[in-house]
Amino acid sequence: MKTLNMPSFGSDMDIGKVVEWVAKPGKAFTKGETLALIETAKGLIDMEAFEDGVIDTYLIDLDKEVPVGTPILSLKYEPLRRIVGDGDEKEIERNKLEEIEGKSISAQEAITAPLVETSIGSETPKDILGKTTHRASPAARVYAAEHGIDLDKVKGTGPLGSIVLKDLKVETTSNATSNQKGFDTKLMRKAIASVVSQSKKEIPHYYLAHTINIETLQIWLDAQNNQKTVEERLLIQAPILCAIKNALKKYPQFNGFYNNEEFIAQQQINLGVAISLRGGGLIAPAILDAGTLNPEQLMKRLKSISERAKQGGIKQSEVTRATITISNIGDRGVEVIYGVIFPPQVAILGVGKVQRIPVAVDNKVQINSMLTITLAADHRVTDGHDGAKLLNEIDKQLQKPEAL
Amino acid sequence: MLNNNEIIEVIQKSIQEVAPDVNALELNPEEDIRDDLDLDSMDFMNLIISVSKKTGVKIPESDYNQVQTLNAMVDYISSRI
Amino acid sequence: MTTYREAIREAIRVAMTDDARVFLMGEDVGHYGGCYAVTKGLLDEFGEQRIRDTPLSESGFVGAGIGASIAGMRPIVEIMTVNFSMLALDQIVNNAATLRHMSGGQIGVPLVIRMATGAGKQLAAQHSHSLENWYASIPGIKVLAPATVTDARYMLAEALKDPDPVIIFEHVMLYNQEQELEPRQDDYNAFKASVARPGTDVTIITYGAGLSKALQVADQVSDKGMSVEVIDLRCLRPLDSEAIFSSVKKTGKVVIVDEAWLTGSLASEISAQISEHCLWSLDAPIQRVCTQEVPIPYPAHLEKAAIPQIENILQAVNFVSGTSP
Repeated sequence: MKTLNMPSFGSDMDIGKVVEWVAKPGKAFTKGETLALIETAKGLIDMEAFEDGVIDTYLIDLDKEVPVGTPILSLKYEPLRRIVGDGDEKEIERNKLEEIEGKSISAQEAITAPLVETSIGSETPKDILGKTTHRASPAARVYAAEHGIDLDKVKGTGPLGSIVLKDLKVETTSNATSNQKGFDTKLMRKAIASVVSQSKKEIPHYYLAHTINIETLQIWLDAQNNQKTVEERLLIQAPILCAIKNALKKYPQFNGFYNNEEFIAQQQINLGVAISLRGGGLIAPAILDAGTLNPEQLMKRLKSISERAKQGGIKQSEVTRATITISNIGDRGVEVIYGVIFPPQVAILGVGKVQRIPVAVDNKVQINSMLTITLAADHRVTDGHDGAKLLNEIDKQLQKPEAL
Repeated sequence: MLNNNEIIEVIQKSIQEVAPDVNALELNPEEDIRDDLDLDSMDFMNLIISVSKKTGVKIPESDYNQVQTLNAMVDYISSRI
Repeated sequence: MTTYREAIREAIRVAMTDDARVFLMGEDVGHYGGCYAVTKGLLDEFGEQRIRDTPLSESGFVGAGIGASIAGMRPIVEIMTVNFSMLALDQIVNNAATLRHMSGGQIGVPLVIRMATGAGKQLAAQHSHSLENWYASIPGIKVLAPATVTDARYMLAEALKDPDPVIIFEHVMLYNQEQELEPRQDDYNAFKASVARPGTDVTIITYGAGLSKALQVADQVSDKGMSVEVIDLRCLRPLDSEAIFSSVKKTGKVVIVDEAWLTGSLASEISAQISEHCLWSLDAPIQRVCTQEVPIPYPAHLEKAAIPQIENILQAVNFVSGTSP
């Protein structure tokens, strides 16, 4: 509400009183017109309008002495002469101004507005950055973190010898020549044979299976992917891995190493992902330190190790430090898979194919998406009861995908 | 605008990028690409990304079942390019 | 093929023909035909009322232009060069830029000021300044810098449409530049940057006379397989931050070419914005290629050494990409 106040007609005037109203409420007055007669110590003075307007109500009684500055009149609307748009004068009502010029903010809001305007495409800092004592560009640090590359082992060829993006990409392909490029299927087969034989010989496996209703998960995943660009889309593996590592936090007896007749649970969760290689062969590199990653981050890491598993560049640390393995045969395969534990790990989870089948929901038959997840675990460390709890926890996690 | 042969070339190039160890020219155009070339879901997704980028045609997840064979993918893209 | 000079002349002609409120005033614009021959022939066409030779008093005629625009005219004030604009700084900063604010919106100043700018003609210390950055830091005005013949032709009309003051900087070395004049597109926007040359490895951000040098560097390094993206800022206030960030996020390596002195240059402002908004995309330190901090020398070889040259830009591009020259 706009008000007009008792005017000051001189620096020594403190009080005044309205002795006559000249402008009437509801009737428009123009700039320069007399609104009221004010009595001051100096005599009777005309109160003049500085703008056009319409009085709404008088706010004080006649002949009442009030201090200078006291509101004495309220106004209905104030047309404003304003030059807008193409430079022609237009009269606009004050309440329309916001439409044309946008919302105004208070002074307080202006003071406390964020320093860096986040609307023009600013980036939020990454939570995990590749750490190194060497010079490395921010982009290189981000890439290193996403791909689990140890920057201390990289030679930099950027400005001032800094590690830059192209150094990281070169690093992975040079590994390729010693690693996967034309890998020897026979040798790999031999290595696998040795591991699985040892596993079956030494580890007493027990097996559990649990079918999970992933209708909610599938709906959530589709909604997420609709909003994402093609490159950012999540495969169903991402939230599943997230659910698994959350469940492992609750049941750490499945995340660790059994050596010398002793099981030591590991703090860090390194998820080994079994990847089938075309032409025969299997490799299970780990997503290191997966404990704090969200589905988007897990997806990025999964992409990275998949790429490198197939085209070269898997690091030694990634194949030797997995604390548990997940075998995902569901892609192109079957409904249920039981794995063979890779020693010294003590468990391997199997994720089957997504099936659309009729199930009973609230006493009615519906077609829902279902997934069978299995656990093969070392009976020296855990029992069926623990295993069941783990699988149920994974189920629980997947029923609330938005909380992953 | 790309003609069908050019679209096939683009898809083959993308396959080569995603799975360099595979011979994209051996692909049976009526067979499911994933089965024929032994691509997993990650490979298939990367293929979709590459083809989308090269042709400018967006392929939402709900349409994956319309691009399962080489012929189906070519039809899908040529009608939207 | 049209020259930059001819394009501007045509822009003024068309503006004056289309709108009776438009007139041009400045030193030597009428009888002399303009210090850079831009307005040659216009006095004969439009007469003394509309092509007005002014006395040697920048503060006076810029003030008159401000007054005329407040009164409803659409004056184009030509200040011979940015060097002389300093005599009208108070008019521009304290009147033109602030009257709308100080009058509570009652008064607007739809004034267009054109100024020649830059070095390269051996006009020495007092006549070779590039002060676009000073003006680009003032709220209340807009600043344009056409680098191509097409922009020289069409930016003026956009400036005249604007209800607030717009300053157009014409680099002295561009007047003779000859290019194909492109037709005006329907979505022509004078106040956005443009990608003069798309690329993926390094971004060069520049304006005015820097554009052709940047494009030459981009051509040179493409032989070595490096793909350089060149951004023509076109509008210096407001800066098209979105275009800048989008390019930087793509390449991660930035070189900014700006003929102002290094300290407090527009390159510095852009550099700050990039580090605030694109830090995690940067793959190398940001490089600013600016004028040496000396009064611009008179001898040709020293003037050349002071101003950003192709060699300097090339050096910066090689530095950020970690390649040896």
